[in-house]
Amino acid sequence: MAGKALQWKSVSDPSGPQPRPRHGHRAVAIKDLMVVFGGGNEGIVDELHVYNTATNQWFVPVTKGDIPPGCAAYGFVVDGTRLLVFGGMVEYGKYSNELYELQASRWEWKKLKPKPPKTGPPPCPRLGHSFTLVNNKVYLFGGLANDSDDPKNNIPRYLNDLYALDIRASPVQWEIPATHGPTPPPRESHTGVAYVDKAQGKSFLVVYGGMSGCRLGDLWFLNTDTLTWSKPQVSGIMPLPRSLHTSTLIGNKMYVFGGWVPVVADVVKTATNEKEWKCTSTMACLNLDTLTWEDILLENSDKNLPCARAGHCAVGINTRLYVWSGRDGYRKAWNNQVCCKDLWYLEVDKPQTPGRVSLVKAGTHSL
Amino acid sequence: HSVNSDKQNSIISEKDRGVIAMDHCYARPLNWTPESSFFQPTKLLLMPPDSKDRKSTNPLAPEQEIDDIVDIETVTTPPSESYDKAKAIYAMDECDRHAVFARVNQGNENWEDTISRVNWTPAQNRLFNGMVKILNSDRLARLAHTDAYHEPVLRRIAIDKSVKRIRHLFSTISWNPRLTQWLHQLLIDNLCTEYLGAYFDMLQTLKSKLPAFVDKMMYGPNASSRVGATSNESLFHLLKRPWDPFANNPNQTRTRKLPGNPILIIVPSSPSIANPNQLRRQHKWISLLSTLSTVVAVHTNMGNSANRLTMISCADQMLTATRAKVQEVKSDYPGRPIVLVGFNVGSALALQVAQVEHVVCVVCLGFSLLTAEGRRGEPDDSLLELQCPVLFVIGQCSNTSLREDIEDLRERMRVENGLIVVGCADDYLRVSKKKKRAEGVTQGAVDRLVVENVGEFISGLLLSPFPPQMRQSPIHGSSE
Repeated sequence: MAGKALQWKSVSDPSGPQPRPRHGHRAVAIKDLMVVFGGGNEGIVDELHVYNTATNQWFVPVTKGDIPPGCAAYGFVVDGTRLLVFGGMVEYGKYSNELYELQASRWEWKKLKPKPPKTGPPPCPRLGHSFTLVNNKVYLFGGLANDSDDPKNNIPRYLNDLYALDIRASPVQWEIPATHGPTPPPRESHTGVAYVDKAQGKSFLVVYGGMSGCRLGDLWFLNTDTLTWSKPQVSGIMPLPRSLHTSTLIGNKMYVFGGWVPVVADVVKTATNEKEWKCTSTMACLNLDTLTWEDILLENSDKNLPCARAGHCAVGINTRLYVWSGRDGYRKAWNNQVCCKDLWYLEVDKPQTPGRVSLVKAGTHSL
Repeated sequence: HSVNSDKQNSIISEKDRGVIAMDHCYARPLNWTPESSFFQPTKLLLMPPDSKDRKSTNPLAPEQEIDDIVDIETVTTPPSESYDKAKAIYAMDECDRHAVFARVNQGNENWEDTISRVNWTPAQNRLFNGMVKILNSDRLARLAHTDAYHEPVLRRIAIDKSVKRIRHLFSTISWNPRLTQWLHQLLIDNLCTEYLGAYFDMLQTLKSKLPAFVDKMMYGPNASSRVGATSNESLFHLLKRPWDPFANNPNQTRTRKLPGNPILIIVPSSPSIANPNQLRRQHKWISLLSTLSTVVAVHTNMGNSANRLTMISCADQMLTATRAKVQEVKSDYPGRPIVLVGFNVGSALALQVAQVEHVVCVVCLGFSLLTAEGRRGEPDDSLLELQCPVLFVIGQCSNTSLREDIEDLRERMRVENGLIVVGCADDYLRVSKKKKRAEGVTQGAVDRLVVENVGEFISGLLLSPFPPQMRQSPIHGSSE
């Protein structure tokens, strides 16, 4: 993409039942489909919505089985057509540590009862953790726990514990991997991305940003083969620290979008409160091969840019980064948080040459 | 070791917990009930938020906390004024400057003793003594407030108080024009500089309240022979309108226009606007509201025939006139949202109109729960069936609307509604002197604050992507 500016495109009027705007939801991609679950705005959502990027259509699959309660700021991974949901907020002040599986081929939910790890207790209820599939294992890292039994009076605690879940095993089992090197400090609302370097045969869990009293901008790599944490040297211009952002791997690049960032002191203003935050609409791109924060040239017009947001969801489908909903700062209509209801995508690379099937499909559609 | 560091990290401050709650506000709190979703939280203006926890809820007699340790050591710097202090002080001193200009020298400090009281009637004596008392206490107040924090506000309050006393004094002589003309001449001729400035200040405020009376008082038999700074011509500009520390204030002129360009229709509170003076407060409200958006007033001038009408037919006529105005506005400005605004009695009428005309919302300034026909909100009151959002604004010390009673009514209404309570204000949202002094505000500033909050309510409704929330009628079920 040498020199060519990327341009955000707003998806105008998709057909089908539109999901309600929200934040704290998550999305995963299955081929052309974006599967959105949970989140909330004045009430936690338990609906499952699917957006077909090829037909520009939302639909609500009829699910069966052990349908889970709605949850927000939970963990969501996909392995083929098998989706896993872990933890999150299920009620005001009440967090979960339950694990559900959704088989997307049958739209069937199943509550899983993973075996506890051999070396310790199972993960505590939490929200804002990262839940990332690297090869055959899902890595659960950090989040926010509540040490209080009274949901009205939260005693929050930031976590930095690491669990791994072997999803090929049956029944699934938690493990507490013994890691080497310095452990990342506790945090929540960070992101985790799986990076597999095929050339060197190495796989990594990449943890970025989050919140622990202030927004974080640090980057951590966990080598999932040697189980070693490392803090790599990254070149390029570091983006602002953030939390409640999304990090999406497309190709060998991690695209970071939105979230809460500190308000940067203007040159004119002198005293700025350190703990002043705002939502952002900025993008950052980390090239995981070269470990460089790369500049992204964006077509810069306010109209063609998703507004600043946090708690949105993002998926990579082919070379496109899709972003939907999220909250819009502290903007409020009376006591309702105002959430964005728009869907955007960004073509981050030249699309691959279409395969035979899609060409045939396109041909038959035009008939 | 990681357990240890976890424990250390787990000390999370109250503020951080607030940030966490704000970041992860996905669900409604547990104390949320379906009932409470229909009314917005009550907004308290000029009221301390912790007033609920106090043992005494009577703002006029707060219970003293005797166990409190009184801190006499730390010097707290007062927060900066919410008005331009330099400008306010300049405005405050205007009458004094005029007085200095009017007198060649300082004037006689013992001016009172030099006046010969020969041939004065007892009424003249009483009037003069009363006036001297007022001037003296005004002088003391000025001296006491010199260089105080919020001096302009304190001065303003002192002048208002003096004017109140003057009106009381004048009422004892039945506003006799001959006597008041005589007194005015006497004071203008004899007062020393400081007192003259104070007198100008009082005259200025009195004129804003009773313009015709002050004109009559100033244009006495030999008023036209007077020249110089104390002549009526040169006083004219000085007395045009009383100064206010909050006037022309850059911090307060930020009132933004409402989104969607709505039209605010002022519902009448009385059958005719024969005496514009009676409605001065209403005019102030209208000019403040016009900073938000276009204001249209309903005119119901029935002339003298109003005197012969019964109350019921008067109300009917006002209702018809208002409906006609709404229709007119709708056809003149199609598509623009309409907001009904009523003051006191007018707010009851506005609620009545809102049942038959489609409007965005109703704003009730100084709503009265008590009526000649009984209380509002009884089971057969049509108010409970209203389908358009309402904002009630009441005074904390209102005699006709208790906050608890309004909250109860709000809970039983079908539609989204809001409540603003103005601390220490009466039925007409006039704030007590004590409160003004404590908060460093004037009535004008309070009114502006109220209007700002009214604007916030309206714009919240206009900007909301969802239609106003409404719940099923408990009476009619789902038939609608």
